[in-house]
Amino acid sequence: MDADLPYAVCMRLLVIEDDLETAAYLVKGLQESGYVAEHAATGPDGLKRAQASSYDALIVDRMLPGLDGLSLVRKLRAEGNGTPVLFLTALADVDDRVTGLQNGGDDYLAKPFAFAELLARIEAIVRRRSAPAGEMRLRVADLEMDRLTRNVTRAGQAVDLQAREFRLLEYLMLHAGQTLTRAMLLEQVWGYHFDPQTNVIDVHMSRLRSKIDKHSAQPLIHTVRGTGYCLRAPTP
Amino acid sequence: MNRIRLVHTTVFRLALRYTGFVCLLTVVCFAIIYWVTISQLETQIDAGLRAESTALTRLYALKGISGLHETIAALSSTKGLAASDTGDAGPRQYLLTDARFRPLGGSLLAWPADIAARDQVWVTLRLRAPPGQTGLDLEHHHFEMRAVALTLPGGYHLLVGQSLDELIELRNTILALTVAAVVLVLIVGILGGALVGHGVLRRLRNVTRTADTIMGGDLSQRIPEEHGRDEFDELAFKLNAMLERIEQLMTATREVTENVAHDLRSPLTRLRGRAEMALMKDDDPARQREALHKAIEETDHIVATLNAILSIAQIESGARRDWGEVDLASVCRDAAELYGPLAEEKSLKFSTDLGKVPAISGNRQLLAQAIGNLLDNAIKYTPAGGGVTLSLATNTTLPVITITDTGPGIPPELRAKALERFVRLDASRSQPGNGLGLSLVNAVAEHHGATLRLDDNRPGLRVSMEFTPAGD
Repeated sequence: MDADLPYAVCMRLLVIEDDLETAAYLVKGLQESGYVAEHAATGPDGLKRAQASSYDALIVDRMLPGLDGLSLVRKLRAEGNGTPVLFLTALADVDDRVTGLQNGGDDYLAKPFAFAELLARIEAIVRRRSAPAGEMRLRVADLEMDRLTRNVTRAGQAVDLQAREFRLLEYLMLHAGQTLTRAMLLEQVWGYHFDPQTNVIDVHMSRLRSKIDKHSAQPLIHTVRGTGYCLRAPTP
Repeated sequence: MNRIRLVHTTVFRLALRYTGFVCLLTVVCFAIIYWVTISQLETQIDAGLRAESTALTRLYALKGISGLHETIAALSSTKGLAASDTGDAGPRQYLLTDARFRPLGGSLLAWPADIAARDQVWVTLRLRAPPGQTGLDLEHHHFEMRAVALTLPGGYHLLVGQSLDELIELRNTILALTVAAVVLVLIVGILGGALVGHGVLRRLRNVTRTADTIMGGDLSQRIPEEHGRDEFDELAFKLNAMLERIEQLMTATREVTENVAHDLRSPLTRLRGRAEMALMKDDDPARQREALHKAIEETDHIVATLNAILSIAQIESGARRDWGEVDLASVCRDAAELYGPLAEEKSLKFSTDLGKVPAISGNRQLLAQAIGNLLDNAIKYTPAGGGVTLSLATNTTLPVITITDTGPGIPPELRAKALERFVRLDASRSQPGNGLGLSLVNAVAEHHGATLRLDDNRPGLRVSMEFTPAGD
């Protein structure tokens, strides 16, 4: 994991979660993944800490004693605090996800979740800002994408992609080096927020992979076992 | 139980209020009649008295005091002098006195003390003595009299009066009639109010009785509807429809609880088993890890099932979330685009035929999920080399989505059952899934007012979802 997280050494996260066991598991897991993780058990405590020092991201439970997660984030946003926020919730319906995002959350994860899913999503929200979203030319090793002309080349050779494949690759390239879970791909590329039962994403990824990596000795698209996919330049 | 009493009903109270209003109106009417009649009668009496006194004054002028005295003596026992002119027949009273008010003759015994000696004074006297007596004592006479007092040339005083008995009688009659009318209005109003109130109460009691039974736990009770078209039938109809819906929701909730208990018990048992196995295999770390992985997989499966149950319950609750206009063609296109490669991977022939259909109103995510589930099922159950189609067309005016496959299909007798929750027709459970796919599709269809039909595709299964157009 450490190899995937070159910036993680100095990343500070605040976990605001009232269930102490869940919090302990999150803090331990995040620390093992190379983050510095702190914990606040109540809404007011969490707000105070988030205001007092600057974190790279907040992991906020929706239901908190004293001050609920939504209000907490709304307050932070009203103060101009733009720290990325990942909401955790035991309420897993689409409406809650929408209200969470409308109230200043950057992503939303329903409990229970796989720790890898949490890590991938944190990585995505923390590093989203470091990749310029307005960048028109994307490049990972010898893979190049012109987002304006929609031309993709691998080692100078044009790659012919369908519209959805283009969006899939674009998303992978914008988050190059990050692990992207199947659920994230389905949400971001297809706009679907439900479990498709079968791993349709795998089929699409294998098609994309055959177009990108087929004629190259160095594959760029990697399967992260049990989690999802990652597009990254080969380590020299 | 709090029973509504008649006097507390709105209708009864309204009737009371209305009765009060009618009473007031009756009183006002009678007051007007009273005022008009009495004042007319008073004018008539005064006119009579004026004529009589004028005649007597003229007589005095002609025949002097002795003539007048004689006439008054005669008149005191008969009718008035000018009675024939005015037409009134009331007995008149007379009194003639000298300048010092000493009676000289007439039917009254003394000059009323409160009348000053002036040219002409009009008064209403209250006398105390039974009428009919020839000599009237002012002290004991007991009737009212309208009188005119005059001073004649020569200092004599003359008083001509007329008993107001008739007037008072008429006044009393009008008063009695007023009271009678008010009492009648009150009786009719209260009785009518009670009658109408009772009718309303009887029908409302049907509602409260049903409500009581329902509160007692029997949700199947309905308010009796009396096949009329009035507001009570309308109310009963609406309430019954509401109860129907509530019962459905209650049943759905109960089913969810039962299903959760039923369908989560087995995976939880497996999960527990795997955890125990992991503990038993304490000598082999590799197998321990394997058991833990399986336990996590099992947990994911439980969570997926739980989520599916909850989404179905949420959809069935009927609340329209994220509702908007949906272009079915684009939903189908996206679903086909997502699942198409899966079909090709399985060497299935996948084709779509998406016609132009009117937009419907609905939730795009749910519709996408439903179509996705149907495609997923079709692909899952069709053997390699088979075919899956997705088509969108209009059946007369209604959009219909049809998904066909060439798999084993579902025997006719099992088709209704297939839409129920947790029913998986392959008993061996060889395919992944939680048996909630079709029930979710069914819930989404019902939520959108669409009909889901399972038919024979000869061979295979043909699933069609027929929508109602937007705006309905």
